[in-house]
Amino acid sequence: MAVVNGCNIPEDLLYDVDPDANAFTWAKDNGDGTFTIGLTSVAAAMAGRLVAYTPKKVGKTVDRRKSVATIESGKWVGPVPSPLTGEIVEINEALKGNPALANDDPYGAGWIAKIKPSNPEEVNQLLKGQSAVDALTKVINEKGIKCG
Amino acid sequence: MRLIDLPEGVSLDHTLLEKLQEGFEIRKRYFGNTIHFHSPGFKHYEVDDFKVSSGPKFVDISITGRHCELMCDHCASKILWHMIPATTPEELIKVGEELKKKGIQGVLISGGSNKDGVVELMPFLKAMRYLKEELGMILTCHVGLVSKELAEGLKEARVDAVLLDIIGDDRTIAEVYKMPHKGVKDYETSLRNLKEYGHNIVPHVIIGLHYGKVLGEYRAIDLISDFEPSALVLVVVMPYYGKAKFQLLPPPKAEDSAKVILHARKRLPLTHVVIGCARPAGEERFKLDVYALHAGVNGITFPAEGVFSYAKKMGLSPVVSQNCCSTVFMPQWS
Repeated sequence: MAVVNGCNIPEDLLYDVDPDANAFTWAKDNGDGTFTIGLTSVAAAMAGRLVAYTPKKVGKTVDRRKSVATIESGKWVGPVPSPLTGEIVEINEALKGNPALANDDPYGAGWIAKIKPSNPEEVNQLLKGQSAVDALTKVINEKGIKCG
Repeated sequence: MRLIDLPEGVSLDHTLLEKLQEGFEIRKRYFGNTIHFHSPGFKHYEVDDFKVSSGPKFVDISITGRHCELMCDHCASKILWHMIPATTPEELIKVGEELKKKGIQGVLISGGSNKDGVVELMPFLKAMRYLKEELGMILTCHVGLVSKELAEGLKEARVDAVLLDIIGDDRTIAEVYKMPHKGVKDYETSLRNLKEYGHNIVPHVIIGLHYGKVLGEYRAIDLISDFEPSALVLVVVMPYYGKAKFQLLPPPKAEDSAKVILHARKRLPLTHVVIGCARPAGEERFKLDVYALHAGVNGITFPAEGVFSYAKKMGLSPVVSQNCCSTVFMPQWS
């Protein structure tokens, strides 16, 4: 796993990184037709410690880069842009009770939603491996982000 | 009363909505259909139906940085954390000049309190006047308890509006604010001192301040109504801001808060009553905001997702402002 300025970047995940779209998310193929999506450690550090997580409803279809949930910290309220178009099949109930899980364990217990993609080709637009690390490193350096 | 579609899973108390209609009638009678939505610059705020794209215009400055001697149970100084620190008069001038260059038009100056509930602004008055007169900024000041001397100084500093939290129960002042030597009478004296020097006052009432329960809020509003405020700001306590024991407590129910809002609307029919930036996040925020619209508030800061659209469906005409909601009474800034 790459670590840049204290920010973990697991190399086995897929990433959607685009500062103009406020997209700093990850996706993981669950092998059953669904993908788990979440905030990167970079996004969690930028937002600050979360105090609220308001997901869209299960069953709703969201377009790529459209909001799958609204998150709130003391200094930032905004959408989590879905890295993939698809139907929301599950939301993270644990995150409702403890939104800061997205800060403490962004790639694990702090996941945001599970999506059933309707446009599989979009998966190819996501970054992986070194190209994902490079894109997030650029964001970390340009914005002076430190994790932890 | 016209019922409007609600997001899935959200239910409102219809008996309460009927009662709130009285507040809505008051706002229609005296303020028409205009509703103000505020998005001051200390926070990035973006939900599906409400977002301000341009840069910030109004920011907060703390003259004590993150430091507060009181460390009240409900806040523990966290409200100061997002503010720009300027802990000497020289630094305040420098910060003001830098902000002006960045296009900032107005500032709220505040800071932590001393053990007597006073924000020690006296050394900063000349610097504040510089921000007002030389930089042409709108200048609001969120203070604690106010002596005659401070009220006079703030007037000389040409502050546009003075904001202060009013607490309506001695128990809350003693227990939450850790000031057993102070009481409601001291807050009343502060209001009197400020009015004596001709200030525009914008009192704030924190709903649920007594460990999540409604206790002194009605008395605070009654007290405020005796002093001709320029606006009244209502906020709701946010437990996750507070000390550990506060974080475990639930905030007041949106329905209980709505009743306080209605009381304010009825006691201050000709005064702008607005919902401030501090209130619990998540789904409860939507309910509170919708009840507030029905109770006839003049404005809401950082409206919950769906509330901007809901207001339009109610027939209200939104006006969006990047300024602090306490400027709502100033026509050129609201």
